[in-house]
Amino acid sequence: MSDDDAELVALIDNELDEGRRTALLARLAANEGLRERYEELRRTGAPLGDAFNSLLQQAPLAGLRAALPPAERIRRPPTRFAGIALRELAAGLVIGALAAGAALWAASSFGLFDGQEDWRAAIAEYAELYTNETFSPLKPDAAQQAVELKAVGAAVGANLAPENVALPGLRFTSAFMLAYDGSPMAVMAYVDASGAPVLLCILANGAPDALTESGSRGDLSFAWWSRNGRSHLVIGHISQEVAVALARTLEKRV
Amino acid sequence: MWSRSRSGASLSLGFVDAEDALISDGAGEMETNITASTVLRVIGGLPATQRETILLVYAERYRYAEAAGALGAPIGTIMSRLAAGRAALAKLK
Repeated sequence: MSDDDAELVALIDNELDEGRRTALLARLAANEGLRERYEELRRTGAPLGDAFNSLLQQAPLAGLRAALPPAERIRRPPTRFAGIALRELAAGLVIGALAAGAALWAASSFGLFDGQEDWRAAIAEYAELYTNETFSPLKPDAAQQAVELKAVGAAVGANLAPENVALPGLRFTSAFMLAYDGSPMAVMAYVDASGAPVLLCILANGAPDALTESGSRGDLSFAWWSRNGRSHLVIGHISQEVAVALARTLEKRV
Repeated sequence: MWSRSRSGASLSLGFVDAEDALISDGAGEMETNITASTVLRVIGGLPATQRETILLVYAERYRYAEAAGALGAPIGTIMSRLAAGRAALAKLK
């Protein structure tokens, strides 16, 4: 057992407090060996759960119930062993963005991936981890940005030329790839004048066309639509009206 | 068999009986049950404190704090016991 195992297991079990979780995620993002160890430990979850489930299903229930202290039994939904395989994370990391990848992976580990539409919830979860300092220091030149956009655009089958993704009042900083449930997802990161991040996410999931809808979660607002087999999401610490306006602008171009 | 310890809150698992309970009805279930049996055997070979902690958290789905309260141990100890158990399982290839 390594010195880090206890914290890794607690992360898998969603038992770390925010500070320790954030610190460990940062270490994982930078340490391949640690990620491999995480994966080894995560893989024990399914057999462990299966073993206890088999036991509970096949053992005489009356005997089990008689043996357990009833007042202290706490039944919980089966969300424990839900970690995502790191190979899926690795497959999504085409262009940098280790922090974003780690955050997505963390969100996925906490049971947010139960339904087809939960990709929005997953994005919201990691978007909450971004701060005004996450993207605002990035100041790549236009050529570099164009290369990133071309690469992620090709991955999701969209024309993401710089002029197509430019948004009023926001500065485009970088584009990178993630993956959700086996589908490639392009992420464009913007900042407003204060440095607050706004994301445009494009998931090539084959979804049927859908008109723009909007919503909010805490301080985050988002707007989403689907077209040409791709689902799109604009999300950030912005008003819902602004999110919809940005979506209306983008849906004509990408 | 599952048995209650003298504290009433600390549980232990008799893994010989547990294996006896894992009777497969068909070929489709056999592989799963062999795996379960192996897992239970590994857990059964752990020290009692690790075993009862794993049981509370992964079978009974206690939160760490709840397990710590039930077992009268610090959360850090709960974490170490669970990690030891999963590390032992991780050695299974």
